[in-house]
Formats: sequence, C-alpha cells, structure tokens
Amino acid sequence: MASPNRFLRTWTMMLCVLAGLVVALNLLIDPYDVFGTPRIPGLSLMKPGPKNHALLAKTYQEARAHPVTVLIGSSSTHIGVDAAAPEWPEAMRPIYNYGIPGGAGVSTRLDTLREAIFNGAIENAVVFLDFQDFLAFSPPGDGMSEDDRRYHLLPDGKPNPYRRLQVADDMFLSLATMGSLTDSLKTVVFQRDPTLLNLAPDGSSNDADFRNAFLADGMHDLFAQKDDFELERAERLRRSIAEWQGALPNVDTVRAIVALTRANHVKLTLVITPHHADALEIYWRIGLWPRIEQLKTELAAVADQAGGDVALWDFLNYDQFNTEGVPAAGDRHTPTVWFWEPTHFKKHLGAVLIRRMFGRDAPQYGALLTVANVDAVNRRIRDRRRERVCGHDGPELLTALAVKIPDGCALP
Amino acid sequence: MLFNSYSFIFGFLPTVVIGFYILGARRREWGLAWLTAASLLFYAWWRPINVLLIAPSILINYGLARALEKTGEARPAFARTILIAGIVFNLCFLGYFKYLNFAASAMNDAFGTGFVLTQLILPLGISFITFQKIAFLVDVQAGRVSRFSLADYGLFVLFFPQLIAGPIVHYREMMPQFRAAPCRYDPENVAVGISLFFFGLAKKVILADPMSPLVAPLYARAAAGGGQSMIDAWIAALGFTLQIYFDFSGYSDMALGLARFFGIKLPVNFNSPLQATSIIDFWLRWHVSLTRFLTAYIYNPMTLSLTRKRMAAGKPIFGGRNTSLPAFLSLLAMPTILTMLVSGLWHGAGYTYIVWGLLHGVLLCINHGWRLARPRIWPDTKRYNVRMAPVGFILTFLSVVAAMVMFRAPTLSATLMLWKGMIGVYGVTVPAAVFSQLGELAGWLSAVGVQPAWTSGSMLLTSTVRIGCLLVIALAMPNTLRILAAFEPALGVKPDRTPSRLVQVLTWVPDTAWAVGLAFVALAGMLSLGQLSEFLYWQF
Amino acid sequence: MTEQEYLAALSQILSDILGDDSIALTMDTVREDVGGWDSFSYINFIVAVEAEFGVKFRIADVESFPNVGAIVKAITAAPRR
Repeated sequence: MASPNRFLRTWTMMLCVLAGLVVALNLLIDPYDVFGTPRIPGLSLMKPGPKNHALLAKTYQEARAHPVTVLIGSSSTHIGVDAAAPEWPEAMRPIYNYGIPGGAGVSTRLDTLREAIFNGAIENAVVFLDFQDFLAFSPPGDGMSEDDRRYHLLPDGKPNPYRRLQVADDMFLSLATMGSLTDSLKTVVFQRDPTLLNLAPDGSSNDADFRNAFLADGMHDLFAQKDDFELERAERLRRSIAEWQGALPNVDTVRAIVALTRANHVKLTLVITPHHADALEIYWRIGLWPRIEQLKTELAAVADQAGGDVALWDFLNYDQFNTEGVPAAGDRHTPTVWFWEPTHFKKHLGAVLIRRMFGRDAPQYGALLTVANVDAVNRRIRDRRRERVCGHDGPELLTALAVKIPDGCALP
Repeated sequence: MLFNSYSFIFGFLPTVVIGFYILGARRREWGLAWLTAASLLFYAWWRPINVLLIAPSILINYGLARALEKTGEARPAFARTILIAGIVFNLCFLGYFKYLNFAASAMNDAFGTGFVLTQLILPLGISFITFQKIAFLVDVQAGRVSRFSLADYGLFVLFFPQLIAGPIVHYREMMPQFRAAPCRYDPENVAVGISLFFFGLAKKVILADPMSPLVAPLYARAAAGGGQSMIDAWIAALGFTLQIYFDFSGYSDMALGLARFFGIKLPVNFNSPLQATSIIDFWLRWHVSLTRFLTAYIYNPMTLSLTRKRMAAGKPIFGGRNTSLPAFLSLLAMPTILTMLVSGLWHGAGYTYIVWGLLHGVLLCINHGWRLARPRIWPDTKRYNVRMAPVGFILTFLSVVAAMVMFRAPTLSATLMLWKGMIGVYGVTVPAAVFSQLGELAGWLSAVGVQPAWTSGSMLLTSTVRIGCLLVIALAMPNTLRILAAFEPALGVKPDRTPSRLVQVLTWVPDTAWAVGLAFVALAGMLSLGQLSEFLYWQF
Repeated sequence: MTEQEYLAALSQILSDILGDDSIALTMDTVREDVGGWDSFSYINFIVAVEAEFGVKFRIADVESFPNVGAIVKAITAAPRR
C-alpha cells in the first residue's frame, strides 16, 4: 500500500541499515589495511586494495609494524625488495618495506623516513635512490597534500596539527565510500584467485601485476613499452637539466636524510638502485651519462661527510645481471630472471642486493662508493659498457630501441 | 556550497528544511524569510565576497522595477528608458565579470593591442541570476508582474535550489507558488523531493563524474597538439557528451527535488535531449529554461520587429513552403544564428563557445530549411515523421556529439584535432594488450589498417563499457519526469496519456519497493560523495 | 467569421509553416500538443496571423497566450488596421 509517510519511514530505516552494513563490511575486510583488522583466511588474507592507495595503506601499516629496519624507496623497492627475504640478517629484523609506488620523489623518501623514525625504534634505514630523481627539480608543491597532513611531524620536525583531521578523514573515507565498498567486495570475491595482488603486513608486495602482464603480453612487450616511456622521460630530463651548472637537484634532500638518521642514531645505507642495461643505454645514448657520473660523485661526497657512518652502494652498472637478454617479440612464455622491465628489478635480484650489502658469500656486484674510489668506479663502468654493449658479446638490446636512437658507442 | 557535498547534504539541507517547517508553520513570512537567509548563506559559503557583489545588484534592480511599476502605462516612453537602463546595467555587470578579460584578449589577438588581463572573481551563478533579473524587469514593464515586495524579489532571485545553475525561472511562475505553498511538513512533498534529489545525486556522482578522468587525458593530449586514434577521439566525444548530459540531468533533478522540499515546483529544464529526432527537438529538451528565455526575450522580439518591417516595406515575408530565400535568410536564419551566438557566449567567454553557438545556429537553420523545402515523398506528415525519425535521430545525435567536443576542448585547434581523429585522419589503433588477445581477428584488423599501440587496454575497456551503459540509460530509459509524472515533478508535467510499457513498470509510487530501491540509490550516491568531482555547470 | 472559421484559417497557416497537413487546431490546443511547433516557428505563426487578419499583437501578449483559443479571442478583440 502506498503512503508517503510509510515510504519515508521505510526509506530512512533501510538507508540506516544499509549504511551500517557497508561500514561493518569495510571494517571487517579493511581493504586498505588502515585499521589493522586481523586478516581472515578465505576472506581478507590477501589485500589487493592498496594498489592505488599505497601511501595511505603503508603509513598506517608501518605504524603498527614496529620494525627495526625500514626500507625507503619507490616502486622498484616496493616490488623488488622482500622484507621477509631469508637473506636478511636476524639482527636487522623485523623489517618494513616503506617503498612507495607511483612516482614518489626524494622528498617523499625523507618524509616517510621521518615518519618511520618517529613511530618507533628504527635502528637501520636502507634508502633506495633512483638516478632519474636527480635530473630534474621537483615542481614546488602547492601547500600540504593529503599525504603530508597524515604524517606525525611537519618537515621542520614540529608536531603536525593537521594530522588528527586527516586521520578522521582517512577513517571515514575508508569506511563509507563507494570506492572502499567495491574494494572490499573485490577483496572477498577474488580472495582465492592465484593471480591476486597482495600487500603483506610488512609492506612488501607480491608480483601479481607484473606477472599478469607477462602472462598476457610476454616479456618483450613489457620491456618495449617501458623503453618507449623511459625514452620520453629521458628526453624530458635532458631538456630540464641541459643548462644547469650547480649541484644536481635533490642532492640536498639526501643530505637531509643523512642528517636525520645521524641525529636519531639510525644506521643508514644509501643504495643507487639497479636498472636494466636497456634503461642505461637510453640515458647513455641521449648524452646524460656524465650527469649520472656527477650524481655518483656528489652522493659519495655526501656520504663521506657523515664520517664513515653511511654506506653508499652503487648498483647502476653494466654487469652480469642487468645485461640479461630480453625474449623475442611474440614469445609469451620465456621469462627473464632478474628484471621485470628496464626500471623494475625482480625479487631475485633484490635478494642478491641484500646478500651483497648485509650478508656473506655474495657475488662480485656493485661497488661501495667513496670520494676516493668514485672516479675509478666511473671509469670501470665505461670500460664494462664498451665490452658488453659495443663488443660482439653485448646484450640483445631491443631492435626497436636501436632504431630509435643510434648505438652511440663513441659517446660521450 | 555544492549539492553533492557532505556539508550540504548532512548539514545545510536538513537544517534549512526543518527550520523552514517549524518557522513556516507559525507564520508564512518567517518561513520565507528563513529560506531567503539560508539562500544567502548558501551563496556566501563558497566565497563570502560574492554576497557583497550580488546584494547591491539586487537592490538596484529592485529600485528599477519599483520605478517601472510606478511609471506603468502612464508614461510608456519613460518606462522604456528605465527598462533599457536596467538591461544595460545588468549586462554591464555580467560583462565586467565574465567577458572583460575575454574581450581584452580577443582585441589583443585581433589587433595586436597590449591590454593587460586581470584575474577577476566570477561570482557564482552570475549568468543565471543576470538573465533572471532581466526577465523580471521586462515582465514588470509589460505589466505581467504586479504586487511585489523587496522580500519577494530577494527570494525570487536567491532561492537556492536554482541559484547557481538554473533552471532560469520567471517571477510569474514562482511567486504564486511561494504565496500558496504550505510552508510546513508535507510527507508527499518530502517523499517526492527525496526521490528526485537522490536520483539526481546518483546521476551526477555515479554516472557523470567517473567519466571525467577517462576523457580528461584525451582532451589534454589534443590540446598539446597530439593526434588521436579514431577510437580514442570517439571516446573523447561520446564520453564528454555523456558526462555533461548526466551532470546536467542530475543537477536538474536535484534542483527539482530541493525546491519540492519547500513545496515549490520548478519548470522543466532537461527532458532526455539525446533522444531528440531533430536539432529543433534537441533544443526543446536540452536546457529548456534557457531556450525559453532566449526565445522569449531575444529571438521573438527580433523576428517580430524584422517581420513587421519587411511587411511594411512591401517585401515578401515568411510564408511556409512558399517562403522566398531572402525572407528565410533575414527572418529565420539571421535571428536564429544571432540568438544561438548569444547562447554560446552565455555558456562561456571563449572562442570555442562562440563557434559552438554559431554551429548550433547553422544546424537549426538547416533543420528549419529542410522542413520547408524537403521533398514530399509520403502524403502525410505523420507517416513522414515515423519513417524519418531514425534518420533524424542519428543525424541529430552525431551533430550534438561532434559539437560537444568544442564545449570541452580548450581551444579551436584542439577541437579540430579531435574532429579529424573522429573521421580517422590519424588512423585507428588498438591497445597492444587488447590486440594480442584478438587472435585471428588481429590479422583481419591490421589488414584494414588497424595498428596496435602502447595505450592502456583496461582504460579502453572501462571507457567503452561505461559509455555503453550510459548510452542505454540516456537513450532507452524513461526520465525522472516520466517516472514521477503522477506527482508533477516539474511545473506542468502530466502523466502520459498512453504510457509505454517501461514507464508503466517504472512508475513511481510511495510504496515499500520504491522506498527500498531509493534507499539503495541514495546510499550509493552518498557513498560516492567522497570522490573526485568535477562540477561542470558551475561557471556558466 | 465564426470560431470554427478562425480555427480552420489558423490551422492552414500553421500547416504551411510546419509543412504538416494533418494539423487541426482547437480552442484548447497548446503548443506542446502539436509536434514540431517549437518556439521558433511560433513567432512565424504569429506574424503570419497578424498579416492574414491585419492585426497587431503586443509582444507581451504574444509571450503569454495560454492556448490557441486565446489567440482567436485576441484577433476578434483587436482593432483592425
């Protein structure tokens, strides 16, 4: 029977019941791992939800994880370094992977490190640096972003007065929005899907995204697509840095990272992240290699100023790992061993990095940079390149790339 | 304050509605005064300075209207002067804020002058308010409005449901309603209001807004001078058309619903325009209140005076099928194109809007011309209309979609890039990820020139599915006016005499099924408030 | 002229304008009842009526004729030129 009064009563009741159900479901499934609801096998053990909300999810995760060692970096750290890898020495555990996918710059590294140090007794920090971040000035941010408001401290170290409001906002939005509801439902429905992406409580991510892309398109396409992207980016960076005379952009931020760790008695390891030779060739052939050498020299100086407390590892090299060949076009079955694509290394290589830096019986790989040896290292890398790229036993660089920019063995 | 914001839905609206019922039940004047005050607050919310700009304009207009009313029929020449002064004042007010910068930069473009552009604050909804004020002055001079106080006039101008994005209302259709409205809780009005509002909210935040991030990069690429693959260009055109369609449709529904809480029925503004079978039909369904305004206050007076002049000069006038070409051009084409030029400029200060208006003007002329000159194949018009409706629909749809590109593209050259893309000038590409899944079909496609490209396959899939769903809703579903027809959702809407099967099934009644269904719709809408939202009809 | 004769004449004028021979106006017809009788053709219709009957409507009236009957009444009431 139709009556407006009854309609309004039913509507209001229904609305409240439904809203309550949505909030309860989001709290139970906790799709972004904001609340830390215990993960229920078959329901919420795997969490694909944080994919596009990494900084949100990880900032809350890290606060609950109480790690002794924190890994700071970008997407390559997020994907390539496993916080639970057996190669880590016992004394460094527990470890939290605070790598932020999605174009996090050097300043985000400083922010996340400051947050991690605030949250608990961090003893070691491993900060992964991508060389591309030092070839352009970051655009000035307009005010505080949502993510800035979430940290406990402001950049100057004072308590952040906006945090309370931001946390309330985060809670509300992860409980009562369409986005969180659909992510909760997806979490439950695809829970048993073996190709499901997962963010573990220690901040490490499984390889689902890259693996799915590989299974669909093959390694060749993954590399080719990323090569095109990297080429475009390299051109942009070349233009932005061409006229610049002084110290490279963002090196000061690294200096601030060093200062922060020293002030808090945190043992700092800086890592220049490995890239596949495909990516290195792009920057070499476009004429940016001298800038990369300049970066290593400047970073070595920063590390040296800390008086031996800071280790600076350089894995940006031509070596047995990053010159691995890429399967041919159309081959959708042959995997690679060390790299997903030019800028993202696999967890296998991540394990090698850990062993090299913190373990024993590691292969000869990378170099511990100092002011004293940086010039020699730079020279050696040039020689290695000549052997591996210009020589006949060079890697199978993608033909597409070779056509787009000439070989450039004579450069620079 | 936006209708689709937490502060509006959970704070402002309940407070204003409950306050109105409590005060209005005591004395009508209190209820209406409360409503006016709330509307002012609503207007001030976004930028308080807006009130300082709009308040003097309201007072001056009120003074002019009073003067017009006093002068009345006694001294028509003087009244005319006052009216013209009022119109000029309002147009200058609008012109200063909305067009000064554009005029200066256009001068700079054309003559190489060096006017310095200044950043002016555009008062919210100024275009709507200005037109409404002009209409009011004209109505007073014509004797169509009598008996008005400052309180009446203030409420008429500021009434918040239609304040910032229409519909453009007439004093004579609003004031009698304010005088007669119950001003107290009425369950039927609230039920109808809630239904309209949440239908509208869902359209805006669930259907329209998610389209924005899908098409934005395509327009940005075109603006940067990049050619688009045919598929991308069509996604840009169709995607934006549907985005603005549901944005505007949702907004209009919300306005109707909000007014209804106060017992007020606003005029129809949006009536399934994409189902139109001609451009003329389109403009009778899209932004109806604007078309009505432009016709009544620009097109009709212009045509009337032109026709009378021609007749006085002994030249042939408009005569149906026997109309001469000069008569058609001067009495129909010229006024139509001029009117649509004004419409284009009203929508925005920019070259793209001007050309958009002109284009629609030309399309309307073609439509009128065809009506007069078309071959008479079928003996009677009814049969002609039935047979030709699909053709008319397709032509109208394509024209509207193509013209919409101009509404979104930042420059004319970006529009041109997209148009060229739509006809395949820049080739046809399919994301490599999709291409490699096609198997045999991929060979066939590359034989006809389709290329793989490193574009996102999932983006293509999302866009196509979304566009498909929205098209079905826009083209096949009855609109809220039809669904709620029995309860007069908008001024003058009546139930169909012979409702279609679908309308019969979907007819709204205040029963349990609809209450449950609308609870889902309302919840979905409110859950979607916390997402990126682009409110398109803002600055118009 | 009788009401019916006026209506027949008005129907004829409108048929010419809209190119639709099936139009039969009544005193109660409103614009929405006639397919394609948009506001644009309305003004042409008004001027054609003015010419046919030698009358001149006020612009304010033109805007507010509620139905065809009102037009017929306005024609009969208007002073002939």
